[in-house]
Amino acid sequence: MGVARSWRTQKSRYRLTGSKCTKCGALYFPINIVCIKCTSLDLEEFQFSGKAKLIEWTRVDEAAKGFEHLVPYYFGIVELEEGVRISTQIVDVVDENILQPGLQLQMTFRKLGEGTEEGIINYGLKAEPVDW
Amino acid sequence: MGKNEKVAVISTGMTEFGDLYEYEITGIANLAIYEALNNLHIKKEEIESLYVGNMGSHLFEGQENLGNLIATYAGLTCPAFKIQAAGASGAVALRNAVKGIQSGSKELVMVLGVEKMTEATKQHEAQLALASGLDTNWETRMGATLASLFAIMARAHMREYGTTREQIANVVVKNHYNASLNPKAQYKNRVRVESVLRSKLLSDPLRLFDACALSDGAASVVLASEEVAYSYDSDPVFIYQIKQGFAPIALHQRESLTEFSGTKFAAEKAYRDMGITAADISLAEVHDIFSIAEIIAIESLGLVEKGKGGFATENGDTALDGSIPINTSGGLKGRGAPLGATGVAQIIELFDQIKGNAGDRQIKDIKYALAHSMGGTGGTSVVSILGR
Ligand SMILES: [Zn+2]
Repeated sequence: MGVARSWRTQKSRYRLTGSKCTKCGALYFPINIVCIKCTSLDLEEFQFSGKAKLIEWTRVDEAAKGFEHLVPYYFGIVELEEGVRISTQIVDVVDENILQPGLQLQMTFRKLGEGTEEGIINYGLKAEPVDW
Repeated sequence: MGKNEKVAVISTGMTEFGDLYEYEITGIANLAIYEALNNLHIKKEEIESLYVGNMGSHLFEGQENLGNLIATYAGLTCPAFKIQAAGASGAVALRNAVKGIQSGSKELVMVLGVEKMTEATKQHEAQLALASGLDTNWETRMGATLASLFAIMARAHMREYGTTREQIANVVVKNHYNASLNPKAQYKNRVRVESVLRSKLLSDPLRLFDACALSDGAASVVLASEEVAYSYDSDPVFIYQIKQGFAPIALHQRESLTEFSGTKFAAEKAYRDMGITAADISLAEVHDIFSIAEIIAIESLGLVEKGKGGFATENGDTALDGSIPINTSGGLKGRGAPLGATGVAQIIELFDQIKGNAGDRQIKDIKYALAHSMGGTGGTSVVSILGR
């Protein structure tokens, strides 16, 4: 991934910033410039709280490029408390048995992977369990 | 689709699938193209358009403008172009070719699905290419692999419906068995449930044997309008329906993790427009890119009850002698998975079955046969229904 692409997505990637449609209230993650529900172009930045719950997960033993050093790692689909779903790694899992749908999670800023040929280290958000 | 809009498959050609080390992509293409032409003594000048389905020539080989390249080396001078829709590339090419004939502007066209993947010797290159069909920003770059997303679907299906790990492994066992009866299959070895469960873990609960291996290969079909078809074949095989369904590209954007909604949409529309039901389908080729995908596919197609795909597989309902045989060719898993070629290879298996040329895999009394191809984790689905 190039520098420009990294820069373009970093507000969403680093701060969990999305968009809210000022016409119909629809929420988007990542940032979008058009509301695909009502077609309005009037969207404002929206800050997601970072509170989330687990929908489903897996443990990755054969990693994608740039993630080899993390193996095995937990990866899943989570639903932000505002109702939007994202894919994310799940960290600080001391016991796999706690990973049940509905588990309360908090998005946290972490190093994502080992970076790319261009030498950009990918930082971003991961989910960690709130209590267990 | 009106009665006269059915399009005939008049000839087919297919390479072996596997490591075709000695051939360039143009060579692989030519083997399939010329088998289809020479079978019926069709002159290459008669082909009015060449639709090339290919997923990753750019990533695997640094080659684009593939339609022009393949046409050049095949000596075809008709319009030629590549269609890319990840794993559904071949099927989407087929659909556009069918539309070309239905439009009345063409009478004889060729669809070629082709992929050369084994050159990507590094596992990571291949992984990267496969993952390029996902949402790279918000899936791959968050740590997703193709296996991890199908693993999430498998977990959800097991949780929701009580599907067992052994039932999922039975998809692999069945498809390898079917492939062992298919002379053109890449993997003719039979496997046991235990071998699947002992293979290397990719993404829990999915293992290496749940996945498809890299493969080279090409498959081609010549399509004709109904009128022209009868001058080649007195009893042609027809594509009665070919529908494409949509779902969001990222798994997390979809409402259900245990259904291919685009597949369901395409299948229901095809059945409705044809005035049939899923019960009229005698056999199906489905996109088993991972074992669990076959289970979700046959449910989404309505061929088995929702949630019962694993149980149906375990009971033998989807075996060659079962009530609804699935992937008689061996599927992507057994026959091989040169991605862009798979959607066309499915049509060739159904053609052979309908013609009674499927050898030891032959299904009797076929009413209609269905093909299902997917891109990515199910964002693009194509469903075709064939018959006499
Ligand atoms: Zn709106």
